[in-house]
Amino acid sequence: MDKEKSRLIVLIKESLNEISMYIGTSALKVVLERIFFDLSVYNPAWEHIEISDPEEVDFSKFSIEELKKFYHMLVDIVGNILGDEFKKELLRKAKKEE
Amino acid sequence: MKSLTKKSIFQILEEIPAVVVLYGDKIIYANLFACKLTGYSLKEFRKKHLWEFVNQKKREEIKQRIWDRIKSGILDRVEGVLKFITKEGRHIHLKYIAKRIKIEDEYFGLLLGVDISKEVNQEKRLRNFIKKLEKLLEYSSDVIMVIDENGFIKYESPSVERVLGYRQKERIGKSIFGYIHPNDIERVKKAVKKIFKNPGTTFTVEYRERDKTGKWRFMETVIYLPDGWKELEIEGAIFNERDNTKKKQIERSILELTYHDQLTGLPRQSWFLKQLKYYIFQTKEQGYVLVLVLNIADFERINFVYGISTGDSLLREIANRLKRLNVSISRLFGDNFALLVLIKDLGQADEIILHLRKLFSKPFRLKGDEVKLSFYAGASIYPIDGKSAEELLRKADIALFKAKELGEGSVLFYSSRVEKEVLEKKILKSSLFNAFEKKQFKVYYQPIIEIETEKVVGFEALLRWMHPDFGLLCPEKFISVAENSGFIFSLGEFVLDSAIASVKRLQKEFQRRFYIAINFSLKQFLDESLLDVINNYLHIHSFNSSDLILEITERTAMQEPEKTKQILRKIREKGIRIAIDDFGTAYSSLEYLIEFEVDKIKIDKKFVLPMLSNSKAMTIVKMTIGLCRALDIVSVAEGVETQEHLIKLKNLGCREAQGYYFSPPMELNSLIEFMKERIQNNG
Repeated sequence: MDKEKSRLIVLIKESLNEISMYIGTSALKVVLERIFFDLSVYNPAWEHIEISDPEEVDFSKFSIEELKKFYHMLVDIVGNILGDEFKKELLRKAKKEE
Repeated sequence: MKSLTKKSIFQILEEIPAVVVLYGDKIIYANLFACKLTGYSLKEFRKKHLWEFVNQKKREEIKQRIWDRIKSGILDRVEGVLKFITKEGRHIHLKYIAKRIKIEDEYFGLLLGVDISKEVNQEKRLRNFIKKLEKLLEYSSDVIMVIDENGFIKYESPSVERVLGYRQKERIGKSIFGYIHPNDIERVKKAVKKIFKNPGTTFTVEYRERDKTGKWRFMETVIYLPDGWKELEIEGAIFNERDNTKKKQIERSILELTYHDQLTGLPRQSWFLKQLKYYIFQTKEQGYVLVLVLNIADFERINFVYGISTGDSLLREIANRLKRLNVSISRLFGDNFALLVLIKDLGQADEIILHLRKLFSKPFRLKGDEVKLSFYAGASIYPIDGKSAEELLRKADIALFKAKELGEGSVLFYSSRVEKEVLEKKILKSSLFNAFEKKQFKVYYQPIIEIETEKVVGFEALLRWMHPDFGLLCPEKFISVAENSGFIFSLGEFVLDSAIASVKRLQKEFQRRFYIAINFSLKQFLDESLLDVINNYLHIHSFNSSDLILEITERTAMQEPEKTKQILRKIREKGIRIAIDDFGTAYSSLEYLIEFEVDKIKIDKKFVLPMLSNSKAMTIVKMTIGLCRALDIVSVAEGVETQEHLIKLKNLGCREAQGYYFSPPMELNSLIEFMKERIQNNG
């Protein structure tokens, strides 16, 4: 796997971990189910992704563009739930990783 | 029956593995087992009454029970448990039977006892445990129930009062199904049936249960039936109910938040698809539905320069402007919006796009600055491009992907050709990293000839990708992919390293100075570490910097003219030469030739190839050569394929040439062979 993708996956996993601390695992599952459903329009593989443990989701089969799209959706929805500051923090982290 | 003698009785009792004591007013006999258990000898026993071995407070009671009543003949047999104090002071729980017996015409008491201390202690521990458990159950946030095979409640923990409002024993004997939501009953019944068929397993089931006030609570219940539950005297399956009502409420509000975007007030993708389905249903194949997916150009930079809050305000402003179109709009994510319009004819799609462009033509205000924004858009049309909402959105997104490559302001309609190109790009991107590891990249070299002498003076390094599916790929096919993925730098270093090493080898082998011309993409050229990287490879291969020519296109040079000027100056200070590639194909102004000091101009094959039959092409070639001569810049003609080309170029005063007339690009080994042959023939 190339470095950019690995870094992106680490960023996503860390963010999911942090989000679950604030909203809990089951609420995070609801968010992920929604995002995966939306993304499955572009790639059906998203629909079959296992999310029994949100922090153990396997993102390796998706492209960098798809992962970026996922992260944007996550940031938007979590921003709705946890507020602007949290959203900004997630975006700042992403910027730092670039 | 013959009466027993004391002696014969004692002989029998000695063998019994239990406490046996024969007593009258005093102990007459205690068997060996009794002596071993209590630590007293028979002699010590004989000095005392049996009741003297129990706690002082209990002595009188025991005496009355085991002797006075037997002696007087009121009772023939008594039984009970006494706490016997051993010689060491330990307490032994002795379960006994005391019987009145007649020996040699005299009445005695015969006590047979079994040590049940272990069992008593265990029971005591169990009682304590149960007490603690009951406390835990009382304060637990879960309700523990025991439900029999028919669904009747056999037990409920005290916590039921706090969780559901029922008193602890209020529902005992009633059916649990009477409290479960009608829509959930079948599921719970199935779970109960399943658990009684498979004891030892656990199931989790969710259902709604009515509380005392009549409200439905969402319960998440783990059902468990221990193996051998009947032997364990458990009356049924254990239900561990957890009240998830609050959690469900939170989840429902979170789900709401996933449908609507709070920032712009626009609905999200799920709503968009629903709406699109409705539109498709409405048109009934008599009209068209235009799906337009929009991405704001350079939005990331705006977020970076002005901050995320300003970026958010901008998204709100964009949403407000889009609302003016009076069509269905959704914010898909980030800076991606989607538009949905019912149109009667395809011409209307162009009108919508025109309106869209107008909306963006007015500058946006950002922290006092006026900023002009642009966008990329991908479009698909029902029923031409697809029948389902999902397919139409996906295809508009594919068109958007391609539109981004075409540049700001591009609006592209979906077509199967676009999809093929996008798919190819995606495959190339995904295989790029492995390709490097699998050594699928190769550097080819095309000789460059000095026209006057017809001698090879240098080579152009040309990267090729031997793709397993697409065959030999030229850089035009994959450079943009490599640039977007950041892979361009590794690729660039690979070319630099290989090309310098190869030409160094050729210089040694043929004892001549050859130069090597290497193409640099925009990202490579503008990268701050460019000079360090070049210096590093020049140093590694002890290569003369003046034998290196850095080729950039006009487009690259003019992207950031001021920066280009500075970079070129530094490069030239190192003695490296500069060539402008594809001259005349991208930029109309020649002003940059004054600003940038360049050593060579490469005349694109687009002009050289047709120059013999196309007078316009010939004029451009002539002019370019003339310009080079006037500015003292070396002209290099690309795409020389015939001797006629060469003769004409020579007559026009062109200095250098490359093309299939001399040689196609080739790998190093073939190039060495080519050079040997050429030197043999031409010197």
